[in-house]
Parts: sequence; structure tokens; C-alpha cells
Amino acid sequence: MPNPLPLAIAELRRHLVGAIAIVLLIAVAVAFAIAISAGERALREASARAADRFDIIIGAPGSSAQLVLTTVYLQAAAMPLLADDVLPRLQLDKGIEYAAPIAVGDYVGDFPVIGTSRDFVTDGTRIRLAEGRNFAARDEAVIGSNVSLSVDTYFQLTHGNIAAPSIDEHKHGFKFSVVGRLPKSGTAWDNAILVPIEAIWGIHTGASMAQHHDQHSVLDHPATSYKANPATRPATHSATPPPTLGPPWAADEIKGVPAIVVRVKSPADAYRLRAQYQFRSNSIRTDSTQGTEINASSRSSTMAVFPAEVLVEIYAVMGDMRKVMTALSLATQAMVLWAVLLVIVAALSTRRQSIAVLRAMGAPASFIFTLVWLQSFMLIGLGAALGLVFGWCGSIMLVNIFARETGFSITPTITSTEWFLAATVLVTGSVLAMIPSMIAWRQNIAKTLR
Amino acid sequence: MVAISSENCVMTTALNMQGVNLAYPRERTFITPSSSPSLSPSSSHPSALITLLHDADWSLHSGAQVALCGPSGCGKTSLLNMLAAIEKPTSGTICWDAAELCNMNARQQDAWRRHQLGLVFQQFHLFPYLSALENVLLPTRFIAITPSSAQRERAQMLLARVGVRAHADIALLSRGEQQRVAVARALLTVPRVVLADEPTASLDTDTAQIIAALLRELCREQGSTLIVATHDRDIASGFDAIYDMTHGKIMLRH
Repeated sequence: MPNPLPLAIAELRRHLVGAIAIVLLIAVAVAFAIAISAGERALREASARAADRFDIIIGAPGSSAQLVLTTVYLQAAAMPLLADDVLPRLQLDKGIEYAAPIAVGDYVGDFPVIGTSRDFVTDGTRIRLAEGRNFAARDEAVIGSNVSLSVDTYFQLTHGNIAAPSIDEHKHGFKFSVVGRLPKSGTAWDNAILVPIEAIWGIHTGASMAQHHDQHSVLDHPATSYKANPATRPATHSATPPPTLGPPWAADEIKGVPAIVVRVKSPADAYRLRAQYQFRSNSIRTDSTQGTEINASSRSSTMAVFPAEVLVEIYAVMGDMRKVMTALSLATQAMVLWAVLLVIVAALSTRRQSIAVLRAMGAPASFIFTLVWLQSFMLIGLGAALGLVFGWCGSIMLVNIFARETGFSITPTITSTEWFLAATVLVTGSVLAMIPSMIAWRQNIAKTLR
Repeated sequence: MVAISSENCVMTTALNMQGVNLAYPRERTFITPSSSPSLSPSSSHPSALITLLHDADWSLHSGAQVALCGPSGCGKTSLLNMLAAIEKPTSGTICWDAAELCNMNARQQDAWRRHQLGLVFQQFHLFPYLSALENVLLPTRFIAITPSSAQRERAQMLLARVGVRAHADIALLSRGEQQRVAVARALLTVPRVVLADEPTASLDTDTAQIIAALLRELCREQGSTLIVATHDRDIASGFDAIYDMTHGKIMLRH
């Protein structure tokens, strides 16, 4: 059986620089498609995973996408607040496991501070803290796995952003002690600092000053010696007990919530609550005594979304973008393959005489065909294989950029989709490689040897 | 058919060429009839065809070593191409040991060249990215995945005979050494026929004589019929017989 492989390899070695250039060209084209495919899928899977613990999210009427982005992915944005009657009403519903307010907008360094409830921290009883315990007082906090604070230390929060050293903490700041750390979730919540919603309400309304002075014994101790365990907390000077944490919350206690995360007991409850709170009050009547318009309904306007539904809409947009990018990458690959084959055909002109010599020596036409085809196949095959590797690396780079912004922990994988992409390039290239092979096979020996 | 040599020995006929005509369209040649007295336009297409061979007959006995002479452009290469089944005559028959080349299809001709023919080219046509040994073993790649140990031994023996190291880099060899490697390659498969087209044309006089002698010696050892096309009279004089291509015929020079 004829064996043109050693000759094919020797010829490629002779033109090593050109061969490497062709392989890299094909690899980059394939990598582009692989990176898009694997990266988009990794992002989609990670984002879907992040939304798993959010059964329903209730917010004020507005953009459902923004509500999900802010609540699930902690992409802070200005959001309208829910009316104060929504949370108390939800607390009375027998179909929910818990309804947790979510207040975003404050930061300690780059770490968002989220005001919420104890139920949300442990997701009912689903999450076991990796370190310490859940917060039990208004000046306690639980941090995500990536937050660069330690348990049993404290930090200061001022309204808005980083606490400036010159701020008089007794007038504007509020100190929290870190009492627990959440396990890694691979979501944006790994970067979050969770504090009681009551503390956020207090900071934003100034009512925290009263609590602040009640807790002055806490503040008197330097950070290095402060222990967060309530059992070891020094006795306060005040005779009044520290304020308790909700739920439940009284209506006058609530100072505005942009979103409420609801864990339901059953899917039926989920659909019921969604229908119930997907409500916009637009019934207006005029108060005859005052001559003013008043809302005829006693219920406030709300918007209730299943995060998965919103994600599907977002994915649809991403999917359209992915289709465009995929089409572009396929067109690029086709052009690269065509260019490579043109180079091979052009290079054939420099090899015509050596091919004619082989034929004159008795090499069968199939030997010549296989020789030229093998060289093309090896270049395309190596390019496709390298493209898989480069594409995987590229997808890791892409998702790392995204992960830095969102806190997601994302690991792209190469699945059958990417293998199929690479295989398609290989098969298509192998078929097109028959063109220069046939040109070489059919050349006239005598004419070429002259 | 049996030919009787001048020594009254009975030998089998290796080559039997009868009634061969070879004509090319004028635009395929680089010469005009007036530039070479051996060529004449075809009578049927006086302005379209150049006739190189006209009803030419030629026969050689097995093991013969002959030189084929003629001026440049007379058709020596074309004749050798026909004898190698690389080109087809316009008409006529060419038989090597009763194998009729013109009746073979392309695959059969490839196989005949692979097993029965050795070729030595003027420009050597070695593959510079292969070593000397790999060049000599090249014909084995047409028939097997790897050369057999017997073929390797024969290749190394031939290289030793021609005085070239087995793992020599072709690009570093002199022209004479490269042609020696080409001779070794042509003889690897113990071909019945060896055709050499101006094998010494690009070599100096001394080297040319050495190469020609080497070719004759190795072919004689294995009983191959050798035809060398050359315009060098000194080289031609070393062969058993000299044939001239002239006026469309192949004539034995006395």
C-alpha cells in the first residue's frame, strides 16, 4: 500500500514558516467561533444558575429586566420604590416561605451592601454559612465568600459609597461587625455584604442615630478587639433592649424597598402570587370635596416577575446577537479556508516538476492525489485542533472579563457543539483540499518535465 | 522475437519498436524545420506539425548499453519519454519484453515504470528535504508503507557503491555526488530498463566520465538494458553502440 505520509511531512517541514502561518490562520478563525459559542453558553448557564434561588421578584412597575439585573445580579440602578403596604401584605400570604426585602445602592469599597432579612441570607434553611453565624442585630453583617473582610472585624458604612476618613462617624456613619461568611455560590452575591434591612432604612432616614447611640458600647471598642458574638458583647449603658429584626415589619417601620424576593411553597403559589402582584392601579376618581384625583384602588401598583422568564427574554436578545456573531465567524472561516486553498494551489506551481518526477518514477496517480491532499488535511486538521484550544482559552478570557464585572464564577466548557464546529471546518477543508489534489494528479508528466 | 548479436550469442529482445511516428504541433516545439536538418514538416500538415520520428524501428537486446545521440531538439527526450511510457507515439508500437506500452492503460503504465524502469534525469531531480538514503528509498513508498529491510540494505549498498554517505544532506552534496545518488535511486528496484536523459550534461568532463562509467558498471551487474541520451561524443564512445536520431529515424552509427 503506497505511503505518501513521510514525503508529505518532509515537504511541510521544508516550508515550515508558511505551514505554521496557515495553521495559525485557520486556528484563529476556528477559535473565534469556539470562543463565541463556549463563552455565550457559559454566561447563559452561569446567569441561569444565579437566578435559581429567586422564585419571584416583586418590584414597582417598570423594567422587568432591570429589576432582575439589580436583584439577581446586583447591577445597581435607580429604581422606583415599592409602596409601604406591599411587604406587610406579602408577609400575611400563607403561600410564601419568606418575603425578603432587597435594598441596594450602598458600597464598602467595591463590595455592594445589600439590606435584607435573615431568611434571605440563609435562603430559608437551604444555605449553611461557611463561617460564623447569621446577623442577629442591626449592626451585624454577613459577607460573601469573595469579600476581603474577616469575621470578627468591623467596617463603617456611610450613605452612598466609600467611607472617607474625615467623616465624623458619630454624625453620619454606622459601624457593622462581620459575624458570618456565606459559602461560595459563583454569583455576584459572593461579592456582597448583607446587612439587616432595618440598618439601611436607619442610615437612609437618619433614624439610625437613636440606635447608634444605644449601641455606643459597641463603637467604643477598637476593631481589633471587638468580638461579634452577642454573648460576649459588653452590656449597653441603656436599659432598653436592642431593636429586633423583622420579619414581621410594621407598616410605619418600612422606609421604602425597591424589590422583594419571594420564596414560595409551591409552584401553584408562585403563579398565584405572580398574577396577584402583577397589578397596575390605574383607576382614578376625583375627590369631590377636595377636587383632587385619588387612586380608586386600595392596592398599590406592583410588578411580579419570574426571573427565568425575564432571562429567557434577555437570552433571546443574546441569542440573536450570537446568531449574528456565529454567522460572521462562519463566513470568516469559509474565507480563511478558501484563502488557504488558493495558497496551496499557487504553491503547487512550485512543486509541479517534483510531482512530475514522482509520476515518471512510477508513483500512481492516487499517490500524488493522497500526497497533496494529506498536506492540506494536516494543515487544516492542525489548525482546527489548535483553534479548539485557542477558542477555549479565548472563552475563558471573555468570561473572566464578565466575571470581574459581575462576580460570577464561570468556567466555559468545550461540548459537542464546539467539537462539531471544529469538525465542520475539518470536513469542509478536507473536501475542498481535493481540488489542488486533482490538479496535481492530472498534470501532464512529459510537459512538466521539459 | 530473437536478435542475434555480433558475437553470435542468442539474446532475448528487450526493446522492439516498430513503425513509430511522433509529430508535434508547431507551437509545441521551440524549433523550426529550417533550424534543424533532421526535422521536416509533415506532408499532410506542412505548416502545423513538426515530425520527430517517421516510421522509426528500433530493437535492442536485453542487457544492451547504448548511447542515443542527436542535436538539441531532435527528439531524444521525446523518444525516451515514449520508451518510458510517459508519452504516447502518434502511431506505432513499443514493446519491452513483449509488454506493449501503448496498449496499457495509465495504471498499468505506472506499474510498469514502478517495477521495470529506472530513470536518471539531467537535473538529478532529487528531493532536497530528504536525505540521500531517503531519496534512494523513495520508489519503495509507491508500493509499501515502509521499505523492507532488504530494500534498505540494497539502498545502503548502492550508496556505498556510488560513494555517498547514507544520511548525507542533499543540499550539501556536489553536483556529481547528487547525480550518483540519482543513479542509486534509479537502480534500487533492479529495473529491467534504465533510461538516462543527458545525465552528464550539467557535470564537468571528469565527473561526467565517472558517472557514465558508474552507470554502465551497475547496469551490467544487474543485467539492465541501458539507454543514455547524450550529445557528448566522449561519453557516447564508452557504450556498446551509438545510435543517432536523424531524419526521423534511429540509425546505428558505424
